[in-house]
Amino acid sequence: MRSLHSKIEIFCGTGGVGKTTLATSRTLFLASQKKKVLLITIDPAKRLTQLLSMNEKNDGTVQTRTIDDATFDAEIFSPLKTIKRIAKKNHSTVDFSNPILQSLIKPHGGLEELIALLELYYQLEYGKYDVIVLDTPPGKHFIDFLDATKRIHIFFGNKTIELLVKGLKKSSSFSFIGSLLDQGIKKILGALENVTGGPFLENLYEALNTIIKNKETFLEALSLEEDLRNKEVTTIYLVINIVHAKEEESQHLLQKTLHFTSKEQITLLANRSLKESILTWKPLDSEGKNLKKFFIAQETTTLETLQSSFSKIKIFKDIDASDPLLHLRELKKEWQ
Amino acid sequence: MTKSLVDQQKNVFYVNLEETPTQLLNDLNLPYRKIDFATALRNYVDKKIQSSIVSTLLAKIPLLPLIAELAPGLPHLILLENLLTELLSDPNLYFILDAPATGHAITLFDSPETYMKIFQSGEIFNEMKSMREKIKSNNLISFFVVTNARELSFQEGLDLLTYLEKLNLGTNLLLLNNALTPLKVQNLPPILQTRLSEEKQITEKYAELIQETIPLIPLSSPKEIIHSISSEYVR
Repeated sequence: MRSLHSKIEIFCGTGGVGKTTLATSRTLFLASQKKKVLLITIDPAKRLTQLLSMNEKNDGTVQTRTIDDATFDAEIFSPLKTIKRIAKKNHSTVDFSNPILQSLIKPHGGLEELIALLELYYQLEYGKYDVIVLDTPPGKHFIDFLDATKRIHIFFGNKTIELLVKGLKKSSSFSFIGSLLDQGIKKILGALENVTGGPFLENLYEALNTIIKNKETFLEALSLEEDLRNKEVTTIYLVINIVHAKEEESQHLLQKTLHFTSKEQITLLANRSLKESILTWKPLDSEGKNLKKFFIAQETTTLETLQSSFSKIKIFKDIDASDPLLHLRELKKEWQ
Repeated sequence: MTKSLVDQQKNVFYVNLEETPTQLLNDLNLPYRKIDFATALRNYVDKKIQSSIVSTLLAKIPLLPLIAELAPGLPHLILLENLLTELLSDPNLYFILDAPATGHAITLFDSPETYMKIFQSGEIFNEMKSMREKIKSNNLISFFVVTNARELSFQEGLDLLTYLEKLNLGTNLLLLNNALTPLKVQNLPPILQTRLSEEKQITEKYAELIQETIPLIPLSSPKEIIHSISSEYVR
């Protein structure tokens, strides 16, 4: 069991609500409080590249940034870099030209969220940081991240995959021959080969075998499940756009998140509030009057609707600046 | 778009590739297809393998759900193949696919190429190839990249548009949503003035790329907003 020294803060929400900007402003705030902070974005939409002038060539590498008096680390998650590091640690060779493995570990590939869990585990084990801020992909892909431990359980928790790999290794003389299950696997593979052709099955063998060879690393990360459920360790920020709140989607996301965590761990961040900035506005025409009424009504309704679902709500005002750096500085103040 | 096509008596279905907002769709009385990827994958494998023994064995082990979860875009690809078959048999049919946000949308649109690389030859490879050719030759797909006029979002939208142009699968259109420019309010407060000037800079610079500008609709219910947009902007 790792020490509970580091805290985890996770930012999630539907697309385009400002998760990355708020996560970065939170990182900046914590760093200004002299905390050692690492910001990891799992969603390689280009927001962090734009916000912190991160070079895409350095994806998967921790880079240090200083804004005003605050210094922090940031990383755009790269599944490939994480797998390379794991393979090196486990002294296992990986054929990165394997097309199946390539598709599984490319950004947004099928293993992305699962490998992200390994990256988080690695950084926690490394023990350098007081807080790790995690910026997650939109909607269901955040749930896939929370669900990653379940997938590790499914993958390694039964013998199917290992039998499959043994079945795929045609030259092997493994001891399962004769068993009914083995016969079944052989039958499946024979039928699959008719459809997929040989190279596919060879590549599948290599890809699955690579994963199995690093089984221990995946299993170690299962201990994170407990940390993610622990309110003393993990805080989840669910971000919405308060004016254009996708309430049905946000409620879905909340309900699914509650399968993994407790309500006390979740704070609703109602972002881009205009209310304070437009209260003193005196519109001269009916269009302006409608617009003011609309913004105020939207925010009121959103808060009324979601209030009962969240025990903690924090409102962030929309920032009157188009420069991303000014945005960050202003949002940082809101975390005080 | 779905509402507009329904109003034009078209045979149309809304398909969300992630979470279906069933309540909203039911309120609007819009036809939709809810996707069960595991079943779609199972049916596909059954069709391909044509062996009841193997199908039964597959059903007894958790292999298919696992492959469905791990293989990027595979379930979506199978879904697209099903939709394509329907589209080719009915010229009056439309599917409005509500795709995931940028990065995951790219994985989805990349999936035919990805799987062609994975399979390299054989029946599935040929099917992927034929699917891509059918889409291109029948001009079956229009991509609508929807963005707002904030600098970071718009840049992301432009990157997606560039990617789609390289992909060359159909017509690509850029829509600007929640725009303040068309509202013609006399005296906006400073925060909205800043937003408006950012929007004007973007719309002037990229005027040729923006196909349609949809204003911010100051109505409270999503249902009313959809009514307004469908009747005025996406006909």
